[in-house]
Amino acid sequence: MTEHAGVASTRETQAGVSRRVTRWAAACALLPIPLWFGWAILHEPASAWRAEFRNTAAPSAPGVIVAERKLDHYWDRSNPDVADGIDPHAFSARWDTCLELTEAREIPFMLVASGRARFEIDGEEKLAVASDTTRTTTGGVLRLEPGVHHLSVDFSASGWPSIALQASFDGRAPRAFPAAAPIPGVRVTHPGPGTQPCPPAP
Amino acid sequence: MALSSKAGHGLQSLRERVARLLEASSRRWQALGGGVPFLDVLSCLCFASIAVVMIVTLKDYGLTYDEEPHIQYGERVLRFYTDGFQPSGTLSRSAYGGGFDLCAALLRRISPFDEYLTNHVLAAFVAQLGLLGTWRLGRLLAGPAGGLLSLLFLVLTPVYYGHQFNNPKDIPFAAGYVWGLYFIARLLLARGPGDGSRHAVGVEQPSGFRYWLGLGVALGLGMSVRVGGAILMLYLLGFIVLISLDERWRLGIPARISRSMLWPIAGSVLGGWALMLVFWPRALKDPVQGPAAALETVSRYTAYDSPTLLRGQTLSSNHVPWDYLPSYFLVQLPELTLACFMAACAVLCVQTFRCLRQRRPIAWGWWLLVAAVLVPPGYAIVRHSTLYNGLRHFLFIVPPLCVLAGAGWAVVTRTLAGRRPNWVIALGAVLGLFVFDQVHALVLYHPHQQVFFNRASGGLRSAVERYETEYYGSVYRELAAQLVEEVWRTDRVRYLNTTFDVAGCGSKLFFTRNLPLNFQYQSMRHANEADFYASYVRDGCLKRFRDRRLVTQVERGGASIAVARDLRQRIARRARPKRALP
Repeated sequence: MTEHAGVASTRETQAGVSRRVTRWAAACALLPIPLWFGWAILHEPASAWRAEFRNTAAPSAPGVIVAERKLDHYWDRSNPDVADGIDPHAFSARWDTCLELTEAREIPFMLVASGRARFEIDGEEKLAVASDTTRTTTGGVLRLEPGVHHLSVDFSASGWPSIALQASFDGRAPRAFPAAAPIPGVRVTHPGPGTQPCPPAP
Repeated sequence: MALSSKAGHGLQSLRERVARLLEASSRRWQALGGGVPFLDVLSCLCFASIAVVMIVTLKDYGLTYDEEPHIQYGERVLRFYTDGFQPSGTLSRSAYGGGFDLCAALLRRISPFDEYLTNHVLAAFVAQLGLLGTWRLGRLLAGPAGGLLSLLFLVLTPVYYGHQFNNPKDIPFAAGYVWGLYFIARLLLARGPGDGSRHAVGVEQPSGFRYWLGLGVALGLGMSVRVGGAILMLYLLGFIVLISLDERWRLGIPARISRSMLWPIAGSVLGGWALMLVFWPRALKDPVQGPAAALETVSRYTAYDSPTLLRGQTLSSNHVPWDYLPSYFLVQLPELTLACFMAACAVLCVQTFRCLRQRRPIAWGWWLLVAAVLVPPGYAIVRHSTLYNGLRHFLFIVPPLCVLAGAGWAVVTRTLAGRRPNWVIALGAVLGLFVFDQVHALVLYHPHQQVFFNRASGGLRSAVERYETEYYGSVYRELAAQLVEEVWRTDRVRYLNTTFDVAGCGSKLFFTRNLPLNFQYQSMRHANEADFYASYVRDGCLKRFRDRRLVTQVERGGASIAVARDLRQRIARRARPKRALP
């Protein structure tokens, strides 16, 4: 009897250890990814661009305001959605953001669009594209002084439109910004309301 | 003579000292670790390390062919539920369940990442589920060592590892498949009195709601990704019948399945089927005929006739020879994994023969794994199924294959430990070398581990023009980044004011999602008007435009798997050796 009880007890102990080990293994295997994902959701950076879309077929309709991470759009048959069901062939849009620099920089900018687009810094036009159907790129290296600068892009769609503003802050090829990884001395933030959307830094 | 005798004594004394030290460490560990085997702790550390590596490297993996259709499918399934159960035309005809895709669609609602990276996050999580299932299955059969080695063999299989991040179909199905096998194996091991799996640890008689629920969920989730998961039910029923017949033959017990088992099994199968229906609108509309028709469709997928490569020959995927799948497994799996798998099968055959002669219980749990590895490709061969992309569609048999290899290794090591300790040390050294070598391969091929070919096949350099290598499109992420940087580096003024046209093989999505907007996709029909040609190795695409200047290429294992060429610049014709790199 004692021998059977001993065997049964050993089996129970083994089963208990097995359950404990399984729980630990499951935790080690399955917790890190959801925890990291949850952390990414909680620390999601605020969208840097304020976008306002208008339906040019209904000019009296109010604009649709959307927060966007980057100014990089491409519409075609497989991707026809503009904000709020607006016709992708007949809309206009404006994007605004604030770029803060801690030191003077020479920054390559590129405006890429099929449609009509104008890029301004602090209200002054820097780059423009006027193309109905062909995707056109225009760019240049612009010097910006330290401080906060208001960047804006006005766009009018035609055909299957596309629009992107690209810049390079690290010597690499210009890309739609801001990049996921922060760049020292460069901060891109969502503009505020009102007539001075990018107040100077305190 | 005296010298060799002294050396022999010295070696013996060293061996005894090492054995005493190991025993003392083991006792100390047992006291500290509360009875938890050290190998299980190593397994936990492996899981944690793998998860961290996955998180850190997640963004390196590019999108693949299957991702976009699965993203669209997931959105349609979600709309089916939110719009009052109205299936669209394509939804009613879909041959696959939307288990993974619906979960990804829900995750995209809260994700801070784009749709592809969100997909990859879920894929990596599901892959970890598959690794956990493999570990549990190996541990069930051969204890902590079996679990650890099964896990190691799987995670160190580069072709499987590389698919874990961006394959929305085959890896989720592999996870469901291995968990289904685990639950069935538990049932088989606990069914009779000692069925020969002496090394199974912590096996409890499956009972209680949790076990049957787990079995049903594993079956359902597997089938919700691919209807072929129904084969798990065949294994379950088939092996229960075999064990019953075996007991009748050995012990004279009438072959029957007790009611206490019958109803829970039926419940789990029906529950799994119901769970599959939740994720599959087509099956929800027609719960029996729908999945049956889908199974027939995927078994003979003649609608898709893609050329495929085998040993340098281009074949129609509808007419591949019987050795297509075995050949790909032989060249793409690590040699040691294959050797251990075959050795485990051979030993199992010998042991089963002895059991039959001596009327002892057969190791049915192990035969379940052999069936799990051999039956699906056997079925595809017999049915002359359409096959392409190498072994991708049969990645799900890699986990049970690795369990056989790893658990078999553990059993052999344990058996030899008492009789031939020197051999155990040698085996340990071989294993250590294998781990080091495969980790090196994973790093070397990153993030294109799926194009690994073993040394026996000549490696990737030999395989790149003879087998399907980079066919999935994930290489375009790296190629596009290299092309953009190279053009920026060499001609900045032109770069700032030019929209470049890029032609290439593969999906338009590979270009529009990986290149910035100033690089515009051009179809291959108009390639001569394009500025650049960027392509992967599939369908002989690397051989095109060889007379144009090479801008950049993606190389792994000494072979080029993707190139970008400047179509505006021809290079001078010169004599080339027969097997020149592009």
